[in-house]
Amino acid sequence: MSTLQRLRTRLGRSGASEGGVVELLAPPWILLVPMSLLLLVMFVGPMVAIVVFSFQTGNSIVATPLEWSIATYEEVVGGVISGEGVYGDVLVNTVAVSATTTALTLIVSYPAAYALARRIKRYKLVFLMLLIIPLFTSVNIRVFGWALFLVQNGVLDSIVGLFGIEEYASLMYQRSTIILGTTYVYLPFMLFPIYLSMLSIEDATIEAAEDLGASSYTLFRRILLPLSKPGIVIGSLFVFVLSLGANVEAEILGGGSIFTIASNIQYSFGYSQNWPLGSTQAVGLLLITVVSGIVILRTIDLREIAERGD
Amino acid sequence: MLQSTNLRAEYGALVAVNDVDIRIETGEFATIVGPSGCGKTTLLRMLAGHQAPTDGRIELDGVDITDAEPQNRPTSLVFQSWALFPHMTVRENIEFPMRNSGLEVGDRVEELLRQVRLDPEIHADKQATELSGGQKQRVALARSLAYEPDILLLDEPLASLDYVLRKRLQRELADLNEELGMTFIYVTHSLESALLMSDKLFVLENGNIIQTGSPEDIYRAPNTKFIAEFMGDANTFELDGATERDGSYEVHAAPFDQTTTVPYEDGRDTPAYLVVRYDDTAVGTELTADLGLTVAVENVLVRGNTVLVECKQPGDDDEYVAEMPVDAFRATGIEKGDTAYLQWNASKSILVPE
Amino acid sequence: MSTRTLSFGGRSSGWIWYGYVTLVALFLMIPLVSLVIASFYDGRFFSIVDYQFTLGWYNAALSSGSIRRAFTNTLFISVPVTVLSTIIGTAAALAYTRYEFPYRESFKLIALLPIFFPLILLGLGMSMWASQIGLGYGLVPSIIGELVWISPIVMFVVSITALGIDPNTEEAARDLGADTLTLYRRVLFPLVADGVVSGAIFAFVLSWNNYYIVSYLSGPQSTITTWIHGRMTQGFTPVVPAVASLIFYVSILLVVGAIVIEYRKDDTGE
Repeated sequence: MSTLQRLRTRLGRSGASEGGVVELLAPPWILLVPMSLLLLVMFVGPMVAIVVFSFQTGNSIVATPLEWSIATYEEVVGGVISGEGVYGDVLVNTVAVSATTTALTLIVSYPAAYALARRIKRYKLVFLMLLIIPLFTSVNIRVFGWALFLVQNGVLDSIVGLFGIEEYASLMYQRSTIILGTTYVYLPFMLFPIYLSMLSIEDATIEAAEDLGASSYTLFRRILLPLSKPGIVIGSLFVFVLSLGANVEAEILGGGSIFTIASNIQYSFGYSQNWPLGSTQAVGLLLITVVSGIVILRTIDLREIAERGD
Repeated sequence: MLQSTNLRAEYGALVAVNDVDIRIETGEFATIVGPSGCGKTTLLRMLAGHQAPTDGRIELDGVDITDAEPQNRPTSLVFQSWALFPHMTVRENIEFPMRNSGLEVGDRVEELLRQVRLDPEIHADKQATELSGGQKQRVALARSLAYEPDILLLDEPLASLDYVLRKRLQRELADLNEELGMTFIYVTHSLESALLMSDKLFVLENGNIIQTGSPEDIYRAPNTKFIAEFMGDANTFELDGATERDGSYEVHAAPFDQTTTVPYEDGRDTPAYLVVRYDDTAVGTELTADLGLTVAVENVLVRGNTVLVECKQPGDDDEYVAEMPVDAFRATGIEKGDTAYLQWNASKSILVPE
Repeated sequence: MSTRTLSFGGRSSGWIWYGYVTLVALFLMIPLVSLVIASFYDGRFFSIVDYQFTLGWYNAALSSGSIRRAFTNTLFISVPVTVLSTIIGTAAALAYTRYEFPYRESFKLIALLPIFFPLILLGLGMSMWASQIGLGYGLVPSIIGELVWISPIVMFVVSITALGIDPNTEEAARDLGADTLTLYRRVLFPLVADGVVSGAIFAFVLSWNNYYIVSYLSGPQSTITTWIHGRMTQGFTPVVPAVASLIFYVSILLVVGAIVIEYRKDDTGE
């Protein structure tokens, strides 16, 4: 069979150009459908629900927007401004916890990320595993582990006891304990973005700076810091946003000693069954999350991560 | 015969390929040459079926293949990155097109590998990722040939190879074209490759074919200043007078301030530039050739057994270069900073339109 | 030069970096190690010097009906979540990385956004939404809810692998006569297989450990994480560390497996 005949039969077989519905059943459209449907139904829907509920007066949705109310906004925003009620304190507490967490995770992660990306060659896989494993363990299990460690007659007591120290201030149920918990839980979210941005710095860049007489301080300030900035931005946003929503840490380690937005929202939905009030506070969290998420996703270059192969 | 009619590709407002007509005979080695961004890769991708033209037709032996899917076209493209399937062995890569089009495998893999000068004993069962650049290129070629295409399309597949290897593979490609009688269409920005291998050249600039012909024709009579400069290092003089006389032109240019008669093909626009190649130009203390200008020697660069003499006219920024054998240059006794004549024989002058 | 020896570069100071990372790793392992130590300890007041080893709590955990039911429920959620999120995430990753289509970047943005959401926000919104649209609460709503968070993570992992494939691969396959089925079966799927396997393992482990979303959507059904949470906040029993450790053992095995697969691939085929 000549090539031309082969071509003719092939052209005949593929038939008239497929259009309309058939085209939608081919990639990429068919590949997009499941994710789009899922997110539309169970992600966009619920987030819209939070916004809509924040304008309701009861625990069900009234269809006519004319009967909607901004009473909960008046209560929450007014409370923050006038200082009445708990909202001002809750906001200050939450931001304080999140900001402290962000700063602490940054301070702890940065040298570790540098070391992992540029200094550690042997046993690197082992170190990476030790750092990754906690990420894949339930938050409440890890927090529970801390409780076992810190609690009276717990692991820490027993270790400290070996050195003959019997009396020391209990670490449980303090504000600092919550921060220990959030710093612990969100540390990997700071460490890995910085680690990835450090990996992308070429050895030659550092060597060139050293050749050109840069002191270690100059090397850090003029080369390492600017080049790892994307990682710092992503990590900081990540940790700040996620720790805003931290509830288990406050509940278990703080023992109800401190109220944060997350625990307050939980309280509004659970104990006081006031969905509109809870939703109004959730809307604030939602806004911060969406903005940060978009900033993070626009900063991340998946292709670059793929090329680094780590 | 492959023929395109008014073939056009637009990206939004940008016209990448502008109503291109090409005609390539069966068995020809055709090269589409042009600088990066000239639309040559877009043109090739339209021929391969990877990109739908905005307008126009592509016909193969009279059959319209404009809308045929790549998998239904008797064309095969050798990619610049070779695009070997990294999870397959060399053999599996080569068998892939045969299985797709139901061809008998038999010992074709061995035959094809030998055709591209690889030893099947050594290479057939290697993983594609274990090969060197030159070997990958050869396997990509064998894989495309295994498809038994009517037309082999090559998108600068030699670009990332080193000089010696590239030279050798260029020769082998030309031999293979002859041996198989298959049409080859090669896209490149490198003139050196184009001149060496092709039967026919298409020069592309900004999406337009500005000249078609055999390598010698184009080298001898470039259509535009752009082609003349693209074809090789050359000095260009802007003409300030051109009068037709019996199929030739009497031309004049300020720098050499002489009138000379140069043959010029009929039916083209009035010449606007006189071009003379570096290696047709010499420097000397006396004016011994037909044409010349007084220059100051700015720099002398040794390039193997020739020297490049860079010169300027006083009060002028245009640089002129003569390339001449080292011995001939030594004999003149000229040194950097001297005043000399930059000169050439009238017959070496090439006229080009704007 | 004195700056050299002081600098980040000094070879002799290498151990400091190892020491520091070891400290960070230890910090991250403290609660998990505490958990495991506690799960084997037989006694009321904990003591390292006088450690009393027992397997009793594991025995008790495995023989308790309510714990077994919680494990079954968790599996009943995790297995479908793994299968479905792998399919959904892989499909979305292939579409995003290997095709051009209008609003491609916006699609990526929205599809990956749930990864960055505090889970309490996702859980809460879903809980209200589930009551509004009549989805209700139980194992099936939990599956759908977890998919929203986990499918994007699978998409992320598979995208990283898929972006590493030569962009001309599909065209080369088409060019050599492959139809869509052949293209996927012989070329694309084998090339992304490693990423899909890692993605699936991560999906399982994340679902296996999920607390927030399940706590909002599972209703009367208790899973292993909600069971632990309940026992932590009201009525601690010494079985809890054993149950939590069991979850942890499964996770660690799978994650280590995934990482080893990933690294072995990097070592052999480049």
